[in-house]
Amino acid sequence: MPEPRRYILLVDDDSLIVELLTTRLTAQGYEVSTAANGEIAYQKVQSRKPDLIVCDVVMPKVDGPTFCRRMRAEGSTVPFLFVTAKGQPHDIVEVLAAGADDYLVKPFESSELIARIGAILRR
Amino acid sequence: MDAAMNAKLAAFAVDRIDEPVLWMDSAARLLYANAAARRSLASSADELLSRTLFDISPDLTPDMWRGLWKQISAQGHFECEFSLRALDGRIFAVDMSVHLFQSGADERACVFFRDIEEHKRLQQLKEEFVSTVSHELRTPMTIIREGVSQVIEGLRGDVTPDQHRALSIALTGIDRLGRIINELLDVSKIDAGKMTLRRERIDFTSLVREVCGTFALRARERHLEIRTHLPEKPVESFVDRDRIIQVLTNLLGNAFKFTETGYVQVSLAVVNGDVQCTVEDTGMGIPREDLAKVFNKFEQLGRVSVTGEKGTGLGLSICQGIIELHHGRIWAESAQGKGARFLFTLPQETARDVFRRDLTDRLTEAAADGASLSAVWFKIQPIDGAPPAAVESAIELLENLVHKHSGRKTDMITRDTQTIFLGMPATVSKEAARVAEKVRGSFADCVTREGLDHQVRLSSRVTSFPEGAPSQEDFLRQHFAEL
Repeated sequence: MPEPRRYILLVDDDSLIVELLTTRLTAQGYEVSTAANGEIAYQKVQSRKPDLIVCDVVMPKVDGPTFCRRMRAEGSTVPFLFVTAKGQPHDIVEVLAAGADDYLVKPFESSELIARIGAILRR
Repeated sequence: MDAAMNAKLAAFAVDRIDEPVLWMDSAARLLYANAAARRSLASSADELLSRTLFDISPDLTPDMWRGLWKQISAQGHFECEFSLRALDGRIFAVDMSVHLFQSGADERACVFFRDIEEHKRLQQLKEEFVSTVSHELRTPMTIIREGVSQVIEGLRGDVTPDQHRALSIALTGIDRLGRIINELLDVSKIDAGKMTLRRERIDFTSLVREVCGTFALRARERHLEIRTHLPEKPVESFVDRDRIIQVLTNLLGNAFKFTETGYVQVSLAVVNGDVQCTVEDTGMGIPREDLAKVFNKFEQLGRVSVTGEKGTGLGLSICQGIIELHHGRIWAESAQGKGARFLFTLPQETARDVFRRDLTDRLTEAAADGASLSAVWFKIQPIDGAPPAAVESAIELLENLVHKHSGRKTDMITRDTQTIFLGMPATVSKEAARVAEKVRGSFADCVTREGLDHQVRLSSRVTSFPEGAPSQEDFLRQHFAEL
């Protein structure tokens, strides 16, 4: 029986990023769903648990770290990969402290994104 | 002209210059203030002359003043940043320059100061601007990069070779833009004194080999030779690995840019206790009169690179900033037409040396400010037969706990292979002992939980200035005695 397709939830308020990354991840064989902020993402997770969440940091309403902390507080172990425009040490500490498994600093190459997603899903 | 007339003329001139001037005696009493000083301190001459420096300084203590006067007497002249309070209550930062006047036993100080509030505000505005713009540019750059990549890779349909070529050029441009943004951020951080080093123990010989390796392809394409001249034994020091790679990459990149035929050579040697690294090429060289200018920001000296590549003119200025943060030195030697040679030296240090130097600086500040300071070291000792991995994870764990329990911005934490050094400015011994106790407690819990308790033992020491150790020498001797 073929392995079921892995399901990734992509959370970003920038529709251009969302469109491009959806194409990229779909081309890699992943099933992709998207959310424009942490609040929508939280609702989506309730109906179906993703294998991985790729998440922006700064978003309106509920930002990335807040969403991640909420999930962790509820005992969720779903892997979070953060994508951030801020690469300073304290910014990275913030996302890791919120419960991130890994992070990428913009501008990143999609080959790196794909490689990191693969690495997390193999764990 | 007679002496009295001369004195009148001098006083007339001093009262009319734009720079504030004060005279003080050894008890910090104000003896004279020129018009610019009176304006700056919002006061009349009479009001000022009945006061002391303590009245116009928000945080000067008698201990601090004693320290300051000692320095003035000993050195004859010194400069510092200082805070003043005008009589209308406004507090402002100044650059202060103090000169000792001596006539027999009579000692007075002539003080010049410059209000630097506006300068500081502009500096901060500039930093924020650079940082915001740089971060805002990262998202659009990601979008452009990804969009172009998807077309190049055929994810959006077939691409002709000609289209492929145009898009590859676009990608090169985007990558260049990314480098420029990073360089601007680095320069801004160095200027603001906000670049921090993440030091670790490294071997320079393998670092040089690694960096040269990344240039191998470029060397082949350009028919240039990369030579290395390295000692056989490892050359270790405690530096920021990524930042030193950045310096070497920059120097090698420049060498390749300006060399048409011949070779680029990297040599390494230990000279008088310093690691000395030389990057030389057989390129066009730099005219003698331009040598001092190469480290200036945005300086490009009109040299045209062999390949037509354009730089930002920031690379060497960043290299200089990084090397100086490491207490090293960087310079260039060249003769036009005979190739260029860039050299830098870095002190060959251990984690302990680096921490000791940082601690000494903080101690000097604490002594001058009449403040306290505490330091703690934690050392992991492997119990017979403990595997290296156990020590490795124990030190990792310990570092996290020290961060967690100390956690103030001014705290200094340095990690060695088996020791964590912690320096805490403005901390008395009781407070430091409490932090040490918390770290030890959490450490004991964690090692038990992870089954490491039969493999490692933790020892520690707290030293405090001035309580336990009244002088700087005592402090350093006591603190490092048992290590």
